[in-house]
Amino acid sequence: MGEVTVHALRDIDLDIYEGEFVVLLGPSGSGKSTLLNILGGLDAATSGEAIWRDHDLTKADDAELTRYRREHVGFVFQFYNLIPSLTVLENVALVTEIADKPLDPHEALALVGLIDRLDHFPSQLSGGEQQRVAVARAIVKSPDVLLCDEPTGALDYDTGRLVLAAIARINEQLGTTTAIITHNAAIASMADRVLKLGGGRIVGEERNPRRFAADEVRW
Amino acid sequence: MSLLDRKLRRDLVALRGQVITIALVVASGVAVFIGSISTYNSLLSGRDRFYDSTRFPRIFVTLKRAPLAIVPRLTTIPGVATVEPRIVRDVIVDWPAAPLPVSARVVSLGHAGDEPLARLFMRRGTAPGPHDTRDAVVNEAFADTNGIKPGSDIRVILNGRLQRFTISGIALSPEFVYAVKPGLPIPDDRFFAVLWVDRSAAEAAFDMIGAFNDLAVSLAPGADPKSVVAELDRLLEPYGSVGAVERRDQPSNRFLEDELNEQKVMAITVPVIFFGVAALLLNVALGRQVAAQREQIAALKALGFPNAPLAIHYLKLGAVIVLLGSLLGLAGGIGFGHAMIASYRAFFRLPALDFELTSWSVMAGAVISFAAASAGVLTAVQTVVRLTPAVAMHPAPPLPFRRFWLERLLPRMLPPSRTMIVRNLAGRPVRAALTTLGIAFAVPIVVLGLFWRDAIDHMIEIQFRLVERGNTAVTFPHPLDRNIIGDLRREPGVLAAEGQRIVPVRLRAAHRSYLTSVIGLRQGSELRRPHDSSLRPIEVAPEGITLTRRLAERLAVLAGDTMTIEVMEGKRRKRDVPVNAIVDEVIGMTAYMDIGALNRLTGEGDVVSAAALFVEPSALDRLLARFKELPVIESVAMKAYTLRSFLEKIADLVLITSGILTIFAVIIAVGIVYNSARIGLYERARELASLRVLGFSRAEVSRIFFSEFMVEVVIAIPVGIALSQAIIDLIAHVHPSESFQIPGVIGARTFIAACAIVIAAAAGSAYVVRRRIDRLDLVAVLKARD
Repeated sequence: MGEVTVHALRDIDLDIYEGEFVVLLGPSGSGKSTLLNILGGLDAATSGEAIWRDHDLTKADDAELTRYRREHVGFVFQFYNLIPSLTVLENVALVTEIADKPLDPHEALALVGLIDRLDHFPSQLSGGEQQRVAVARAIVKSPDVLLCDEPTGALDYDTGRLVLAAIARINEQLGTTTAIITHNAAIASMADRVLKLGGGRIVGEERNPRRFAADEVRW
Repeated sequence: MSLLDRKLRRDLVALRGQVITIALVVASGVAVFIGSISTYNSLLSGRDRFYDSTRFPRIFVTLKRAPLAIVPRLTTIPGVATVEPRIVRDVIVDWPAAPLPVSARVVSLGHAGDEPLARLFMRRGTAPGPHDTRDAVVNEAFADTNGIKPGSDIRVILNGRLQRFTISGIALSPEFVYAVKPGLPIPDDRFFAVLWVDRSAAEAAFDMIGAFNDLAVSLAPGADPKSVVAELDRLLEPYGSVGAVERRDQPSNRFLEDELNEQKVMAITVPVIFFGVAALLLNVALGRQVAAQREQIAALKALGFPNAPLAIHYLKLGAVIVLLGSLLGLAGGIGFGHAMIASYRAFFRLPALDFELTSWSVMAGAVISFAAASAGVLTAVQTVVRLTPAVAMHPAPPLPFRRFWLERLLPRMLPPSRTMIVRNLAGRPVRAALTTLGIAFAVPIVVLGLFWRDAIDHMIEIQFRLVERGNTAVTFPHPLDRNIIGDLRREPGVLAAEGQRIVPVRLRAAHRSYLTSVIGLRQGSELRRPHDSSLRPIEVAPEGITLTRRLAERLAVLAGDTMTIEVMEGKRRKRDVPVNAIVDEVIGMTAYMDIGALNRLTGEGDVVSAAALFVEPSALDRLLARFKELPVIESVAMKAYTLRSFLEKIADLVLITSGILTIFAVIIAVGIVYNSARIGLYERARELASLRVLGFSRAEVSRIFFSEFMVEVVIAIPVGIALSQAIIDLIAHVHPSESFQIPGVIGARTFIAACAIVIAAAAGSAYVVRRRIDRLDLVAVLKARD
């Protein structure tokens, strides 16, 4: 099999503003995950520029990207990625070991409504609960940016809405710049701004006149 | 090629790191097993061939003088096949180059070297023929050490006259595989020679025409040596027989047996330990490898593959690794064996010592390895195929992590990154224990190679600092009045001198007997002080006898028992004496008595036959030169010096053994840590990638991952030290040598070296795996379903 160069993204020109809630919407293979990974410092663009405040992420080496993630970015993934050997509280507290100005882990867990399950292990939680732990873990370091990759992808409707509510609350209460990628168009109604991706390009952008609350979202 | 075989080939390539490390562990186990067993068997068959081809006698008798006329009577003893009367005498060699007096044992030849018993194996030149009184054959060990060639001259003092012999040949003899100088526990080829001369020369030199003073005897098949010994003792007592001894107590053979037994212990204990560890590792590593393919196995099952081909597929994986390991091990074992045999050649004076591969050991090595591999593979495969494909296709359920009881004992708020380490270890206790044990076993393997030096140092320390505290020992040609000790004290440089009476005796207890010497010591003796097992000096009691532990064991007596002592010279008195005490000495099988009691037993008055001296080191050379002139000094020995030089000879052997064992220990440690780390990385890649995404640096993630191994290594080291001590104690305990006893002592430097090597091996393999952690593909890992 020969090497084929695939451009996951091209001609992207995008600004995200502080405190903004952005949803990146697109089907599989549209390049939305690649975009999120570049924004989060997990991946580097082969060309172009990605600038966060005054840092050029495309020129950063592994150590700088690690520091960027450590100090500024919170991630939530489709498959939670909790540490199975740690309890709910410990999973969240783990991040406070490396954060400069962390929240109290209890406070973060209160924000996602899990204050009564502190001593449970991930294997003792439902998928929605695990994802809310992941959200608490992402925000406990009080990140400047919260990036969520299909946060409801593995969840049922009700639990998905609980997780979205938690994310929206954090954006509102802490002013954390939030980007969610999803192929679920219904979620877009929660955002300040919706970016549609297709074939590696931004094919549409719209601003919602009003952000819907999580319990108003239907799919 | 079937699809499964194609998968096998790709798996082998993909798992090459694991395949190679596991195969190397198998190879080391097989190599030590094959190498040790073959070496031992090669030594045995080298000895047997030599003994057979040279007709090594079964019984030996030393006597004062008997007429040749009684020889026909001796041949009629039931069970006796051949009797060879000889003239054997120890003489002083005039060898100015040597710092110590050189002595030689002159042995008469009746058949120009082609003796009916104890035939010479000529290395070079020829043996003197009948009536040749000018030529002599010398033993190869002395010739090599002193640069003697055929044609060289050698001068000996015979009955006070200097006589010159021309060396006509250099030979090996089954009686002198080790030429042990009388009075020394071990051979020193620099100062002791064996000279074979024609009977006519010996008769003239020692005034022994028509007589003999030494007898070699062979037995008819099935004859009882005990009854022959008894009959020989009865018939030869009037001629001053010191007692017939069986082959097992012939000095050279005893020493050779001891060395072979030591090899046997090493040939069995080391490979058993080693192979056990290798088999365990093979079992665990392959088992985990198969377990890691759980989803693949389930998928194949779901596709309709029956269990048998799947099991065979994974057995083939094991078989390829074992085959690879066995082939490497065979090559390694042959190399190891050749190296061992090469270093033994200088040590065992046998005409032909070649490495012979013991074929059953090769088969056994491969079969045991394959069995261990199969057990690991089958257990793992069985675990998977027992599940329904639907369940098995899901990843293994997460471990039921819970708070570990030990956590309650730990500081209240252990950081979560530390908690992970504790829970991972506690969550897989069996795995953690096996990994720890495996690493721990690498320690004694290094120690086994290195501890000999400590044991030898300890042995020398005990024997020559505590027990034999003089630096020079002299013997007199016959018992002398004790005033001689006063004369010796007045020699320049002599700081202390103490007389001893050394008497050849046969000790009897029930049906057991042993020929040895009793050393008579004066009360308050300072230069020779027997010690008990707690290394406290003990005084020899005024009556009764004190035995060294090995001798007491051989005679099966305890302190308080009574035994019979038969003096083998002079008036040949017999007496029952109580055993006063057992002393712990590492060299020889001696007995002690009070010198007064011993002299009363022999009925010879207040005499001494040897002296221990402490000589100012700077005056030694001058004093030794003077001793060479003094007719009253029969022999001079510096035992510590002799032992040192002898042990230097085995240094090569120790070096080879320890070098090879160290390499294998490294392979074991690397095999365990590398394989555990690779499996751990496979299982926890998601977790580690998550940590990286959360902002943990490469170094922090590696630290969390490897802390588990660090804990295992930290626990393994003391366990390994304890295991080492237990194994060395076992070896010291079963070590059956009568010449010297290996003490179960391991020095701090050996432990430090062993631990450093194991830690370095673990750290090295961790480093290799760490590079993989650095290269973790964060995105790919996070995208994967849990």
